[in-house]
Amino acid sequence: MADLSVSLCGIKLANPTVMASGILGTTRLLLRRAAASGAGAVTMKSVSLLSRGGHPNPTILSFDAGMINAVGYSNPGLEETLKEFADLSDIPAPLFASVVGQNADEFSRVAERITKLPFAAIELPLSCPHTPGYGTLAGQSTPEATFEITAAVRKVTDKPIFVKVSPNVPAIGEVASAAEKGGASAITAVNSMGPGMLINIEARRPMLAFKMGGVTGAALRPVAVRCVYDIYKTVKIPIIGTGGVSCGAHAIEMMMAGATAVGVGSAVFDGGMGVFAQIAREMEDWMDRNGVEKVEELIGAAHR
Amino acid sequence: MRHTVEQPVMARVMEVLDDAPELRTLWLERKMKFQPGQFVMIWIPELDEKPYAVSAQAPGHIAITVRKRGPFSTRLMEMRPGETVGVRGPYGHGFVPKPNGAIIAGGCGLAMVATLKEARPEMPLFFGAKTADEVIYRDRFPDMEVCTDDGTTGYRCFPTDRLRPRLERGEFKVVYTCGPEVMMRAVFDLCEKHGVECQAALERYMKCGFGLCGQCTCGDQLVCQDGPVFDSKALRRMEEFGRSARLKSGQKVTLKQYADGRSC
Repeated sequence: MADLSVSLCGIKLANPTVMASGILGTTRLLLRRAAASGAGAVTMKSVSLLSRGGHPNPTILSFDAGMINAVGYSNPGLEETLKEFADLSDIPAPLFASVVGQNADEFSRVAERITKLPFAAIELPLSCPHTPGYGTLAGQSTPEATFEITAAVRKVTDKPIFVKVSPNVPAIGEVASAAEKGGASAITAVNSMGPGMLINIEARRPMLAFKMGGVTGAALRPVAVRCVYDIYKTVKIPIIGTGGVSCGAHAIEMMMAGATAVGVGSAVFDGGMGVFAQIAREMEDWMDRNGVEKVEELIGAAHR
Repeated sequence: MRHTVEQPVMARVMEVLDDAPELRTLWLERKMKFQPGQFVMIWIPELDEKPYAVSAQAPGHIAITVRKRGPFSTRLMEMRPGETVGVRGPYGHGFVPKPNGAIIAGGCGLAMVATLKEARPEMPLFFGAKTADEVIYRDRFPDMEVCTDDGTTGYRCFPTDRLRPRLERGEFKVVYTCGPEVMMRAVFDLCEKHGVECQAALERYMKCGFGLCGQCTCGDQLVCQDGPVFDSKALRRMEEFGRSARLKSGQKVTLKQYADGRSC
């Protein structure tokens, strides 16, 4: 039997799949359900200092080669989030928090409270392409801002920090290096790309209420694989390879590019919550057929 | 694995009917296969997109029934024949029809169960409204037992008061319900007391409509995909059913606060 477990910054995952932030992670009970359905780890929906209603609908749509979204960081804010996730003891997989802010100070103010919750790590998405004041629209995905924000959060938590990076940068390795220097424990690569746009030709109007949104799913996957490949060459810290993974072969490809764990998001649209277990089973089958005993042997295999 | 394209497709408004002073039915040009209890997302470009029950069907057409609440529903009610709205869906799981059933609805919740009543006309239908002005579909369902809070028409009581004695006599094996959640909770509790199955159509603030964003959660269930119709087994496990709901931000509030804060 193939061993699917991986160690990510010392956190033990039963299999490499990680439910990506923004997918189903709004409540404790949904995180529990996703974890119980086979995810190796689960990530909460990002929390900001104050509550946010997010963009009007439509916020998420699909197209022939993936998904597009502009949710706009809707979340009930720090204080409500502290209540919602106070007790995570009945959740059968490691949990990751996700923290957003408009500047380094806001990031650290939220992170220093969130770190007291029983999450195993804190993710910092510095790369959302569709929320004014946050992510790429606030210039957070430059190497300088990435270093500054990561270093600020490093001061307020001892937990592993995952920095989530944008694929829309000319030299992604430099951003990952800046995160590493700032004290990041891992890189989540990548956030959605774009922004992109879908226009309803009958209405002659963009369909997302925010007009543009981050592109994920199948269209993002080859870009994500290349980003992971580049980052693996640049930094020593582990990578959570995220972008369009929907089956075991995709997950193995991502690990061969250099990922230690594999984020899964849009595939929940296609495969439901059972998709994590499905991907793990398919990885296991592939490993058995190819005589691979430990999945960790595959990390970075495409570089050797 | 399936990968479907989920985007609003424009549909022409064919006819607008006044059901009540603040309730209108819009007939849309759209061929659709759906189960009673499923819903569609209605899009007004550059404004918003909201879930609505399919309240009636005719060959090549579906209808939605709109109650005036906020900017979106107000604009929808102002639609004239020839204008278009975006439609996607149907989404979710509908009612599972079984023998010896009864239907109980409150307010515009009647829109959600109307196609079920048409599919199973032998089932008695109990309907509650605040006042005579808010009673809809009277011509469509002449056998509907009407109750109003103020007694301006029909029985002056809640529809649950009409259902109760017949449940006590063991007339029904299953009860289908949609309406204010406080009413549905009362119906569910009544069904539990008499060992009768309940199927309730829930409403929560909805975003994607297809089980990805986690916005419309109730307990560990997704109203858009696991529901909107839940059976007794699922309802029993939902602590939030009849008690709380989440605002657009995800903040958990009482049903009263949720109703007051709704922007539709």
